[in-house]
Amino acid sequence: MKLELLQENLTAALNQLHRIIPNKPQLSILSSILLEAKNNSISLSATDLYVGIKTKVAGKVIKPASIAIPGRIFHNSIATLDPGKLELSLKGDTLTITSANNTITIACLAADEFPEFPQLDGKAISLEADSLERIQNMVGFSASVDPTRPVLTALLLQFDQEGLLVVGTDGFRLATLKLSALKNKEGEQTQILIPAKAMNEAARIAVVQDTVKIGLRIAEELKQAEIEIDNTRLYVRLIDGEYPPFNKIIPAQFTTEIELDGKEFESQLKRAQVFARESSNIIRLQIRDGEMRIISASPAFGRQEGVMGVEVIRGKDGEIAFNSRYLLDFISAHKPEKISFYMNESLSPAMFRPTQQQDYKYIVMPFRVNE
Amino acid sequence: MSSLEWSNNKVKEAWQTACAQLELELSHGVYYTWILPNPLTDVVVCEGRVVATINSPSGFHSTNLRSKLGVHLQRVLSSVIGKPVEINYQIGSPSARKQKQSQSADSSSSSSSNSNNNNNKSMPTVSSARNHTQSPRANDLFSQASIESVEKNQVITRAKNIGLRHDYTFETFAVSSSNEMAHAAATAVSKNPGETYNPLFLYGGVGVGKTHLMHAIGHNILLHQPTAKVIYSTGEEFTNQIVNAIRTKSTINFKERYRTADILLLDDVQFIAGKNSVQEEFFHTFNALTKNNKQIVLTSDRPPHEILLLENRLRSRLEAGLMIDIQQPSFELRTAILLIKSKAANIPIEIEMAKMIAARVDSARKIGGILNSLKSAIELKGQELTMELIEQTLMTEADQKRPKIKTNIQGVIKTVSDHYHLKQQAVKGKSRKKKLTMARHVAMYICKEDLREPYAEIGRWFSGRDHSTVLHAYHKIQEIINEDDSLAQEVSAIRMSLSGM
Repeated sequence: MKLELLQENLTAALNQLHRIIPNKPQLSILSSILLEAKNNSISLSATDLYVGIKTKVAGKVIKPASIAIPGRIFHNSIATLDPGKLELSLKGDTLTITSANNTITIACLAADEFPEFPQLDGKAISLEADSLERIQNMVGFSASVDPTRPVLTALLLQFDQEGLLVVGTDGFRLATLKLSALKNKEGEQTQILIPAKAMNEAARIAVVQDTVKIGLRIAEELKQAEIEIDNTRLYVRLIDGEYPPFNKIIPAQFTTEIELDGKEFESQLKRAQVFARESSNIIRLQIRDGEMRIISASPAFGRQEGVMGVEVIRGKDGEIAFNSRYLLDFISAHKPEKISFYMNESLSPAMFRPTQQQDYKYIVMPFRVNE
Repeated sequence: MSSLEWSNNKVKEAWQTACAQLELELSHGVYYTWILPNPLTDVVVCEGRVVATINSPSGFHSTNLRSKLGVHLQRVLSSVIGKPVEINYQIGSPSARKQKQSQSADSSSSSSSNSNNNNNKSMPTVSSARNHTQSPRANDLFSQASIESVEKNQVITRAKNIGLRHDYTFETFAVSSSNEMAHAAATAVSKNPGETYNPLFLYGGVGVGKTHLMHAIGHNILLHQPTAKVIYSTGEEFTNQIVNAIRTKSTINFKERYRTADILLLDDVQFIAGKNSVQEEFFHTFNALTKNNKQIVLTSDRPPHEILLLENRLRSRLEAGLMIDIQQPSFELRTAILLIKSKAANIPIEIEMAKMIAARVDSARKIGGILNSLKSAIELKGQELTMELIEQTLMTEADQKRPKIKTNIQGVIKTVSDHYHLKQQAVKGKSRKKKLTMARHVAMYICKEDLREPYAEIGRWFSGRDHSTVLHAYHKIQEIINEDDSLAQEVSAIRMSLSGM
């Protein structure tokens, strides 16, 4: 094997791969990066057998071959080199990297020991990178990080005639986003569960690569999804299981609807958070006479109460208590100028939404407060 | 075809044996990566073939196991099982998959309309999640209580969007002999829509509860099948929609809307009589729905054979289902309705008061009106609920609510005579035959009660009778009406024909 490429390009590619390389795998080949050079295309792959990334690097192939290179060593040594042209050549199982000032040799493993990537057939769904970013920012944070309920660590993607519906929930709050542009013409409804982490990773790669279009290919049989971001392909294991009945906990109507200023609400919440932190993050919202009181108390340190003017669109006065973290998550994800808040009784799920975003819902379960 | 599935224990045992063998043959890393996480989960013997299912956690595992170790694995499994085996590679946790299979099986067999509804059967438990989150006291979004309360909210909203009144449910419907048949049929239909009585045709006079029952059917169906497509429309709306659709050349949308309904509730269907293109459209909608066992409920103020200008083919179809006549509410039923409505309106009416009102008011709709005026008198004017207040309200209310009769004494006499099939001259005359006096008294009563003519004037029309005779007749009829429902019904029927003049 012999090839030439730029250090800048190689480092960028390795930066994407190295985070999924497992630390101490039982099978040592898994800590390698597969380098495949053929017909003027150079690709690098890594996998922990649950997630896989394959990415292409620009360069010149002089003599094609494939080899599995120890990942960490490869990444770290290339990263420290100066930018410029690199020459990679292979003799037996030894890779030699030559730069202007350095020569590195690494002992490698045969390429055929490296695990094969599953083959996904079928048509890819095309997605704007913006949409992926919206999914990530607006829904991603609602998913659970608790590995004991794997289903909730996933985002639900539901394609049907009305578009793509994305849902994320951790069992206490739930976010849904409807992307109506993505209609499933065949009319059949498909649902998949993609790990929120993988979506996050895809969104990150898309930002780094400045991608416009993203392809999504799903293989139900293999329980695998492939996200194509320009030259990079992300292989993700779909999560198996039954997603909670999210449709059943989104109220169809609310008795109270108010609008409030996003910035002001955020600063009020942050102030309330100081005391709430001591008492399971509970903050109480009282809506009365066109005002909202934000109250938090800590048994040990005291309490605070803030008031802000709100616009009551309809409904009556009310009181409700939330985990302030859930509200702050929502605000920091959207930075909304205006927030619409909807509620029924103080123990029923309530809804937040940036006033402008009709296609988005953030449902939060309130606290039961005895006072 | 005989197929035999191995028991779990037997499968487990075979796998352990195979593992022991494979561990010896393979390197540590290969064994722990490619064998251990991909267990044997099923062995099925079918017509001499043995199919072993290997379950992998991901597509990577499955792909590589098959290509790198497939032959090896097959050999070992064959030797353990004692017969050549075929390997079936599967991905995902076996329990989740089995669940899905059984679910898709029964969801496909039931119906296709509840597509977003079939993931609710087994709720994942949340106890484990609870231990890990920092907010132990936040109620779970997916708790049974939360789901139930939101479901109720959703049903109410759907009902509202469909146009059903929220207070028209079976719970608020008082049943007595005059409407028990209709009530029983309505409940049966709402429990098994499309299967028991299709179409259900309810007819009866004003304020007997046709619309109430129809709304109640809608509510009950929504409660059990939240995703059912229920359409509620009145004959008039139906007509207007067709006219609009024709005008805007969007009949296709109209057809689509009505012919995909699961339940069609059409109120006051008599309005479509005489309108040919409307009847035509309704006829086709009707056929399309009944063919697919979709429930249709219709109400009318008279039975199909009395709806003039109704096409015969349509009439015969309406008559093909169950037709039920709802009678005017009896005194007892009116009292019961009054008590139910007063409870809903939060007016503590005692039974004696209720009886008093029921005796003076003939339809359920008027009871609502009386209660409203009572409520406003109590809440806005701060008056106390007494017999006097009720008396006062009844006086004014009864006048306002009765349909205005725009005729003269001659008109009343004619209508009454027609109603009883008597000659006008006989009714006005002197004969004291029982049949005649009754009709005469009724006519006098209506002249006084509705036309507000002076007694003396009325007397003059009836062969110059004295005003005290008229007064006597008036009181007598009033008394009978309050006790005897059949006469009350006759009088209100006569009033109906008079108000139509």
